[in-house]
Amino acid sequence: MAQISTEQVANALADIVRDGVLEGRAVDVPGLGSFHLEHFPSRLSEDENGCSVVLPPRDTVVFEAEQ
Amino acid sequence: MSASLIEQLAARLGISPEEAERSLQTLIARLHEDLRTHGETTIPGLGVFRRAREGLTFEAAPALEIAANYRFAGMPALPVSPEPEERPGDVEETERVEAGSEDEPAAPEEGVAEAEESVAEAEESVAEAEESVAEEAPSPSGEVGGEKEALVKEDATGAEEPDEATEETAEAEAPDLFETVAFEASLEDEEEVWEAPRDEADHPLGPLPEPDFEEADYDVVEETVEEVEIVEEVEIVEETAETSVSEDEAKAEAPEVEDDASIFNVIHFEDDEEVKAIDESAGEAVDAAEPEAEEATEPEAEEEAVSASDEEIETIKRAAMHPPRTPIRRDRASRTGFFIVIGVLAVLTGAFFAYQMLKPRAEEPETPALTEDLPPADTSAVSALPPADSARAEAAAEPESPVRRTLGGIDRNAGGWTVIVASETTPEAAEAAAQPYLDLDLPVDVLRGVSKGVTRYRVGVGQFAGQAEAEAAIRRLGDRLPPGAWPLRITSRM
Repeated sequence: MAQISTEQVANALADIVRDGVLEGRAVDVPGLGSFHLEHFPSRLSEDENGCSVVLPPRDTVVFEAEQ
Repeated sequence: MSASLIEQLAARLGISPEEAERSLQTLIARLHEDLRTHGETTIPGLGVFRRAREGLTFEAAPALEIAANYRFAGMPALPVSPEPEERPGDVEETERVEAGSEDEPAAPEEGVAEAEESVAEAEESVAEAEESVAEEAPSPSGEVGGEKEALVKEDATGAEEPDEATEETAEAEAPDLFETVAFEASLEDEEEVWEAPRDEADHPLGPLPEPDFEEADYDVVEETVEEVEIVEEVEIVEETAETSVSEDEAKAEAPEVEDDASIFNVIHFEDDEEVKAIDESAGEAVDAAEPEAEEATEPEAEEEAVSASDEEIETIKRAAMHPPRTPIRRDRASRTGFFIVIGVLAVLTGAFFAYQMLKPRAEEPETPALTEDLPPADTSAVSALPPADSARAEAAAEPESPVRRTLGGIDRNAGGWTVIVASETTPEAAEAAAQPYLDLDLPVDVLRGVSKGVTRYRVGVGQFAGQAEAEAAIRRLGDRLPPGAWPLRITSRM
């Protein structure tokens, strides 16, 4: 049986985490942490000129390290 | 370890779950080692892990961020309030900060006041420059801008104080004012270049061309219309009025008369008398109008023309009241009559054919071929007997009465010929058909035969020696025998 390199395992892990997160599921990687998709609504902020702007909502991948 | 993660890992790598778990543990250990040594580590396609005070942080890869935020991709930040206007004081503060003098104390109040004064003086100079430009001939905007620039600079320099902030403020504002002034000057230049309207006499291209029509033309048309109306009223009201008919009026009337007359000729087919009268009157009017056109001083001709026109007017009025009769009716009537005749003929023809089909036909006795199913006749016995003797002998054989009331009497063995008066398919029907002939002084019997495979029961009247005698009996007994009675040879098999 051919040996699996660490790079291959890392790529496979990245694919699994990406697919799970984009599907809206939380992916828990033992020894590392959990990944999930979190939604941030629009909010007020200031731009570089000091003008108030409304930032659009966004979805972000959030990582919570294992304690 | 998460079972689902291990299973997915094993499926992707094509290894067993135990090996997938071991590989994952190896990977995690290596990541932690990199974090300890380098402070960060990267998983390609996933992101970067960094060791921070609060713990392990994660920064997603750009592709992963874009894929995760695909729903809101491309949405920009929307400004809530308009940008604040740049006040001289703000600009001064900004410049001070940019100059790196954050700690030095600033004199914003004095600088603002001095800047306002400089702005006011600059505006006055701009106004003076505008006036001068308005008096001057059109010139390139650059020159004007240059003059104004000089003026503004002079004002700016004249108004500035030894204070560095004021100089900087004026120099900062001068270019803006210059641009504004230059723009306004360009607008004024465009206004001065405005071309005068073409209707001015001193226009280089000359005055506008005169219109084709004149108001006087309308007056002339109106006058002519009024004159015509007046003349018509006079003609209608006063038949004997002595009015001078001008050449134009006569010519105008003559074609009108002809047109009306032609119209009447087309419409009224039946009113020939009226048409003729109108034609005559129209002709007279035309004839009268023509010499009038030359002289126009004969009152009698005028009266005739007036009367002709009166008649025409009356006929026109009559026609308007009553609808004109068109020749279409005749065509319709002729077509209708034609169709009626055709219909009647069709009905009669159909009735004739129906009568022919449905009328009862007299039953004709069958007339088979003379040589059909008949053996050669035995003429020996027949020739021995005279034609009348056989009948007499048979009559003598029955002394009861000369009138036969029962069937029988034909000797089949003797042969000969008989006259067939009926042919039935049953013996009972044949016997019934034979009854009317029993009162004849001839033997009547039912003879059996086969014709075309069908057994026929024929009623035979008389027994004759030969065919000629049988036919002679048919002629002799024509009224008593049915039409179509035919002679038949008698055989023993009947």
